Amino acid sequence: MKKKKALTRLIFQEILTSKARFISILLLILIGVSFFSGLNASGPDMLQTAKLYFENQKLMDIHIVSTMGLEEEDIEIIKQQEGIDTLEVGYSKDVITQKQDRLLRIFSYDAGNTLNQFEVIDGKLPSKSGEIALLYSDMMTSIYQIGDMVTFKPDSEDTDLSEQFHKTDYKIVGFVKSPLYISDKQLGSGTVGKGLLDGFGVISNKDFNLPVYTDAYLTLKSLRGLDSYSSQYKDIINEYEKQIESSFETRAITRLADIKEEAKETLEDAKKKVEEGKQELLDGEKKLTDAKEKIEDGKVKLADGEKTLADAKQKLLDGEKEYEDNKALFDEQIADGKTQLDIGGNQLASGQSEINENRKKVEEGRKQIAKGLKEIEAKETELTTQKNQLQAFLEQTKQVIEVPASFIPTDQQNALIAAGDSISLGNGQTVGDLWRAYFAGKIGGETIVTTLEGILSQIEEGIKTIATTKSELEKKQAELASAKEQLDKAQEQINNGNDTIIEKTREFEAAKADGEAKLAEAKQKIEDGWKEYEEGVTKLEEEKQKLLDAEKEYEDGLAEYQEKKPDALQKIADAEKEIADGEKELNDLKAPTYYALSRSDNPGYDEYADNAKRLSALSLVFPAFFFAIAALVSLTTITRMIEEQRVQIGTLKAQGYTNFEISLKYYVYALGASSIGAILGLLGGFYGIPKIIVSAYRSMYDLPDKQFHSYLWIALVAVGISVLSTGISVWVVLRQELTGTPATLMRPKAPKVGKRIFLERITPIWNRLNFVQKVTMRNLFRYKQRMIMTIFGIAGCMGLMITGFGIGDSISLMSKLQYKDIVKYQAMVIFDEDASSEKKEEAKDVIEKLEGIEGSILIANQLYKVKKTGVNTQQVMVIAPYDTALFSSYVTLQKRGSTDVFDIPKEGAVITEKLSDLFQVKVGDILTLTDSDNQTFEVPVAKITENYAGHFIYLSPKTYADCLGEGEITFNGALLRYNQSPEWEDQLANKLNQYKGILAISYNTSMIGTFDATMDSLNTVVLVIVIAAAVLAFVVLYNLTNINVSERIRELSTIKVLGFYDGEVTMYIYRENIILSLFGIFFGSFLGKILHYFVLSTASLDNMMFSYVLKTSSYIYAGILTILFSSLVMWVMHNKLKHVDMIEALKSNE
Amino acid sequence: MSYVKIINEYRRYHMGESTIVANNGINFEIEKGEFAIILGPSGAGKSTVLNILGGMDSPDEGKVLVDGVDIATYSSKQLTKYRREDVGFVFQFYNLVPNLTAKENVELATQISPEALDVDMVLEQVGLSDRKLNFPAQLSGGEQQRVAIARALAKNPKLLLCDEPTGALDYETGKQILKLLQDTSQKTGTTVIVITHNSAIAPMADRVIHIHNAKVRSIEVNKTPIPVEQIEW
Repeated sequence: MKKKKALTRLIFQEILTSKARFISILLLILIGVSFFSGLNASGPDMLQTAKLYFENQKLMDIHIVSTMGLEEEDIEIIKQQEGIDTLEVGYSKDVITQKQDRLLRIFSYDAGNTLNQFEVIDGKLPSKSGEIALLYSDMMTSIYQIGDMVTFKPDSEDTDLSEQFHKTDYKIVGFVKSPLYISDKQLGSGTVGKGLLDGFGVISNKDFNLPVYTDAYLTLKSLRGLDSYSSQYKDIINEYEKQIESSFETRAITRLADIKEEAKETLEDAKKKVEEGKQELLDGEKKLTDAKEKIEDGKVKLADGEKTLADAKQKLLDGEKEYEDNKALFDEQIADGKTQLDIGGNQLASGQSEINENRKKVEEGRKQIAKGLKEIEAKETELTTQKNQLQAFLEQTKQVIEVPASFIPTDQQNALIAAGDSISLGNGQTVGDLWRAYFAGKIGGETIVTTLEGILSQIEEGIKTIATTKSELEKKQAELASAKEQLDKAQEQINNGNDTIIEKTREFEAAKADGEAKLAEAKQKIEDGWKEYEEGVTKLEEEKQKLLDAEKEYEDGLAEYQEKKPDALQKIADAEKEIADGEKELNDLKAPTYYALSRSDNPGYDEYADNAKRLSALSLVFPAFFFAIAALVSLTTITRMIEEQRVQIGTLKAQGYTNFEISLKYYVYALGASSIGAILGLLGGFYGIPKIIVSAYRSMYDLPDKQFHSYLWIALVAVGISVLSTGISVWVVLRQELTGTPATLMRPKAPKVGKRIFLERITPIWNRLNFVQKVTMRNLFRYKQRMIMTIFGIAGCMGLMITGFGIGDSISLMSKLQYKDIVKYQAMVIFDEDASSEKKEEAKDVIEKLEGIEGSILIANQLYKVKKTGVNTQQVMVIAPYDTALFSSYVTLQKRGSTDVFDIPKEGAVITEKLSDLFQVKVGDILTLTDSDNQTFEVPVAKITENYAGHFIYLSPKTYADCLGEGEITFNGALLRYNQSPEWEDQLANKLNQYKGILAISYNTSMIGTFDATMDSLNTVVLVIVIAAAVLAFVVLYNLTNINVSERIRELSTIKVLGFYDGEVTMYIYRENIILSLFGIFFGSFLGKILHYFVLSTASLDNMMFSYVLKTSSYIYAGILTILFSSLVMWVMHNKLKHVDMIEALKSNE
Repeated sequence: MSYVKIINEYRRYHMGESTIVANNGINFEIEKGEFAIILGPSGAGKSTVLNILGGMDSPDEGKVLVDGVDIATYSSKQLTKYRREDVGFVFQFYNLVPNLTAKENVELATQISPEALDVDMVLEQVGLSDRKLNFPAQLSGGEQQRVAIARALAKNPKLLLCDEPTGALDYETGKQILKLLQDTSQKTGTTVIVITHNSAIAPMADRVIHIHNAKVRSIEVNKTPIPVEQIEW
């Protein structure tokens, strides 16, 4: 007993003296266990919380709706189903609020109902008409407060709210939550307005004014108590859903027939009425048109008459003008003729007088010439006489002078003288004088001869001249004779002219008379014409007046008609449109579809489970790894502790303690530390970490009564591993030690023999190292086990941190990759395939002409399933764009890791990566798609493309038509690209919802939002991982360094004594740690990469894939943290080494 | 003035409520180049004196003058520098670094000492030229102690302090080590101070300081020290 007491004391003393070691083991186990249990418990906790919530609120198992609501007959059919526990019916309708245009789903509340109980957060549920309770969410409470009024407004002009509700104004009496909506942010889509629900409201069922129920909720007996996230539950539900839907098959057809029959009758009546109205209108119109026609005819006639009159008038005027012209012309001509006649007379008269004058002149000339001739002839005779006398005288003279003068008788002389005196010489002298002189002897005879000859030639000359003059005169005489002749001729002409003039004058007079007569006739005619015209005008005026009267009458009629017509037309058009719409509706009317929905169809319901499962995936890899490190390090620590106490063991043994008694201490120590650590760890793991993690999801899912449970299996595993790992290490080490004899044990264990290390053989390297480096290298290899352990520990922590940061990277990158780099469109519009073709065309047109977008492309898209045993059936969106060349602006197709963007090939499908991985389908394989009617289609795979969320298959229109469309392709949707605000999107949705051809529009922004919110929650998990890894890194480093120091305390004391400064002492040992840390960081980087990949591929769900991108910064952060912790440990160690008592260490020989 | 002079030095250790006085007013002097032995029974306080002289401990009172400087007033850092440059230590259990060869163990000291001697020369001086590449575990106790002495000497210290250097050695080897120390003192003029409880070796010293009960009992100055070979015990 005494012994035992000593032993017990020894144990507690041991713990007290080595607090640090005890705590470090405890801490390692604590971190490992809490992390392991915490992450493992979080997922189940989330599911438990949900389960309890659903149980408490009595969430329905099946929710039945139909496209035409539920009639009593429908309810009867449901009632006949087997195994129904509770069945309740109610109303729901989507409305838009007056304030801020919020889209709410309004549920009916019946206090007697038990299913889907609302949880009242504030205020109360509606107890009477006109009261409303709203969803308790940040958005709702920020808009409304209790006591406010909510006003519904119609989403379009066609909507008559009074057909749905008795009231449109409701007073808010409370804020509630519904188990139908697990998340207050993700409320699914509505049927009116912008599409996405902003919240819901609850009003008394009496406020609804619907002819049929809209919802039936039921729970099943067979599902009572089952976890609704379990596969068992899902199997039963699936079976039941099918069963219900099939039980409505015939009902749908008969219901359609009923509706059609009823509608047809009403339509026929309406049609008849419309036809009558139309006929009436037509009659009225006909009368009016007849009248109008008549008037028009009259008008035409009048116009004709007017025209004829005008023509006549014109003609008359023309005639008048012509008459005037003619008259003027006639007058002119008459005047002209007369003038000419006058001129002719005058000319003739002046010709006559000229002739007369000329005749006188010719007569005078003849007389003068005759007189001249007579004179000339006389002169000629005279001159010829003179000549003859003179010639005779000359002959006498010549004979005289031949005889001398003296011999001439005086008488002869005197005769001669006398004869001579009659011949004048001109100068007063005469030939007689000459003769006197001659006789006087004064002059010779020659002189007288010459003179006489001279006179003779003169006379001869004169005779000649007179001959000339005579011929001239004779010539003139001839001329005059011809002039006379001419005159005679002229006279004749004049005489002729006179005759002509007389003739002409006679003719002129006749013409004049004729012309005047004609003119007079014309004038008469014109005057007659005018008269006739005047008569016409009067008649026309009369006609005109008549027409005006008719017109007036017509106008009155028309005005009346027109006044009444629009009204009538509108009535007819309305009626017709109503009928057409009704007919169309009737034609388009499909048999009502009945849907049996399960909890999985509730918005956010499956995502919640997905999130929980993702946590479980994380909790598998991380903590195991974590735990391994913790256990290994505590093992090392215990090993060292036992080795340190060899002497003590030996002493105890020597004193006769049994092996068991000696071991007890170590078992108590190790198991004490590990079990305390494990229990504390479990506490933290079950109640601490899940709280942090679950609260991270609170922004998405804020469920009441959060469940934080202890899970036996987790506890057993955690405690088991920690206790076993420490216990076994004690057992192993002790077994080794206890086999030795006390003597050997008490002798100090031979110090580890120094050895040359491998590196020394590589002289080129070894020689290059300085002394300190050599020492470090030697030491590193001296403690191989610890070296490996340190590297492993640090690498592990580094890897964990990288993974933590890396998950953050991948998460933050995902929405960017998926919704920015890969999916480039912002919205997808789905046309209503049941709409009429014109509505569809209209829809296409609207999309094409949409403003504010960068582009749109028509697509054919359809949802298919891909099935394979062993793999969860996946929903796959098949998209075939109208133009494959343009498609790259909407979706980037590329192999992950490559930047080579490709187009959709002509043949074969482009499938997304996760789909390919999941179903092991490679390029060249055939993928089988199943449609909603369980028909299968085969599509050859041509390419695989990068994608992170959802499964897609991209096809060329040709492939689509060939493989899926039986040779045809219908473009039933469109993708839109734009850069706009969410408000704009809301407006767009409002706008597009007005078109019947557009079924839905879905925005990627909302997906990004949900996505980011989920991922943000995961970020908290990442933070927990990083912090835990960091703490682990610190503890591991601290422990290992501590062991290192304690093992080498003598060595350290020695160098301290040798005069190593404190810093040098620390570095002496820490240099190794730095190298090991660097190695750890190096290996840890690879480990981190692998771990990251592993964790992400485990954590990724069936329909999503994480990006395996690890940013360099993550490596750097993890590295920096590791170095930081290493430095922290170094600083702690430094302080510890500073205070090492070197004397104590050196004295003993342990 | 003496090379080493301790004046009224006190050192007290507090163990819980009781106080142990290890050095109770120690006074002595040692001349430069002397081979001094501090003699006394276990627990007399001689190791404390040595530790204080060696700069590993500081007195509570009094002066410790080494080469005219009072090291009692030194800070921890100054003491380290003092140990580094002025003091060589030889321990009972050698305290070699097991992972380093003989030569490397010596180098460990010369690395940090400003006036270090040539390592090979010192090793030759202690007669270990051919064992210098061996690890401590491969050496006998005497050889290990020689390495330790070489390590101390290689720093070319002002003081060579030896704490029971032969305590873990057999008679012969112990003798050889003592001889090495004596020779070193005589040949190199290093001031050597050896602590021992073995009074038999006292005659080999130039000066013997008897310490008993934390006080110096007597100081003998031996004008003619006897070579260690002639001493038997």
